[in-house]
Amino acid sequence: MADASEAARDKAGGVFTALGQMVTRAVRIAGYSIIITTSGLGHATRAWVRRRQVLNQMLICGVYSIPVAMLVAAFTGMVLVLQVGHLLENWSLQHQIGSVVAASLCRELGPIWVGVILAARVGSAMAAELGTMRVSEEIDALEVMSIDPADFLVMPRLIALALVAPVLTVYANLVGILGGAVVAYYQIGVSYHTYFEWARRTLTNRDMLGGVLIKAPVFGLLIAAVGCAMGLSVKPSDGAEGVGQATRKSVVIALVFLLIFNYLLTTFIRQM
Amino acid sequence: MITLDGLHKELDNQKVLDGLDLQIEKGETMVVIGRSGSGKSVTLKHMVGLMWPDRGRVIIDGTELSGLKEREMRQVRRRFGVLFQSAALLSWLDIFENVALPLREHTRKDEDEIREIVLDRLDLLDMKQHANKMPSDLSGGMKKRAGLARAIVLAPEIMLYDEPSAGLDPVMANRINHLILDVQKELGVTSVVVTHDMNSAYLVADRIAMLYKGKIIQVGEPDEIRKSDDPVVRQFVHGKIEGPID
Ligand SMILES: Nc1ncnc2c1ncn2[C@@H]1O[C@H](COP(=O)(O)OP(=O)(O)OP(=O)(O)O)[C@@H](O)[C@H]1O
Ligand SMILES: [Mg+2]
Repeated sequence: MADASEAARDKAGGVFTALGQMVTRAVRIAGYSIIITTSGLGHATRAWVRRRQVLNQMLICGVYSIPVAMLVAAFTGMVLVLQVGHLLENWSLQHQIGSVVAASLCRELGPIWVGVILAARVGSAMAAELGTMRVSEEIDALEVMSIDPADFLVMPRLIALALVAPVLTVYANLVGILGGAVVAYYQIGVSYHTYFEWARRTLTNRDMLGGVLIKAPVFGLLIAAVGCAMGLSVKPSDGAEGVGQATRKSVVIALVFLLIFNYLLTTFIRQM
Repeated sequence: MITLDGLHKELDNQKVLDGLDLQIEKGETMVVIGRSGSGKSVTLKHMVGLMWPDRGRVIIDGTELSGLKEREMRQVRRRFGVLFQSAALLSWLDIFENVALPLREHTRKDEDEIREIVLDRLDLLDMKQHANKMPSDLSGGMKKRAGLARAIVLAPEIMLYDEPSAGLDPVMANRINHLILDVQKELGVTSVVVTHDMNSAYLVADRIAMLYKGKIIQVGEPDEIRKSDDPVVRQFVHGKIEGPID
């Protein structure tokens, strides 16, 4: 009996220790990401000198994310209409469905989905790439050549994602609203004219600016920072396994930070 | 030129360097030998400030590294050329751009001048015809030569080679050894070569130092090392199974 309760206490203790370790790790990673962001952005004035690399990163991050963003956004708009549209029919308000879709996409889902896609596709790739460079001594080689990785590797990635995320968000918002319009027309019988009229009426400048010009760039920076931080913190002796772990963790961590920041930014934008 | 004075370094709770002393004179080629995992790469990394000792000093031409500011450290590093164990070429740049990188980052030369210098270095290492290939398309020996071209492109005073001939076939290994001699003659550099290949050590060394259990246990000219009385050195250079090394 005593054994059992002791075992239970040990187990509880174990859970708390694990939680504590998780928190310390999270704080450390957050701290390192902040350092990476500031030292990377400290070289932002050199973005023009490194424009080729910035453009290259934008291409990799942005253009190749377009198909995924299109699918995700379209189906989000479509399923929103399906769920909420039928709900609104209960109060005969289905003609206002356009405003629901536009508001949820522009305020929340557009930037978040873009963030999720970038974290999964791009942030993880950055962690893998920089981690591999760590293991294969390429980062050491850069330092010996007095080339600062924060300037040469991190800055172009931060800038590229901060620029690409808003563009992708605008695109995702549009595609989502369009997808919703089609379902609204065929499933709930709302005309395109009514749909877009309500969508337009709901959207304020604050929605547009908040989602596209505040959330999206912040998410872009955050994802690039976490990806670079996880990649650079791989130890050469960790080898391929270390790179794999950094890649995997970078996605989870970026998503957690993304949702936390999203809540904070929503609070902030609503008070603007 | 390079003084390592009582270096201690622990990595992952494991003593790697344990009071390492070594003095390298200007213009000489010092070969550091030792078993795999004995800390040869770690020793090299201390010389260019990629690692910092827990205790002890690294002195380059009278300047102690640990006291340096970022900018001064950069100036010290500019005097070094390093050939890494894995060549460490940037995978997304072709060979030409890899070799051109230090020129682009640290000089204001125009495209024609850069082209001339890079092709000249690549030619010296017999790599000119591979200038437009990507690192992943090259064999180990070609990568090493490209890495060497990049290391010497800013005409360094001190060259560090980490296992220049490891993993290469005997012909290519020998070729790299002769390239080290060529660079030595051509640029008059001070060199530190880390290797566990004794043939290569005898060929390129002015002096050889044996690293064992975190210390330099013997330094001497190739002949002295070959005929060493130290049981550890004897076992290592003759590759015997029986002996004090475990
Ligand atoms: N960054 C690091 N973090 C933790 N441990 C390390 C690190 N670098 C090296 N070590 C450890 O230090 C020891 C010496 O490594 P080092 O790479 O210097 O060996 P080496 O003599 O160069 O061997 P090799 O001939 O295989 O290259 C090894 O046990 C290695 O695991
Ligand atoms: Mg080594």
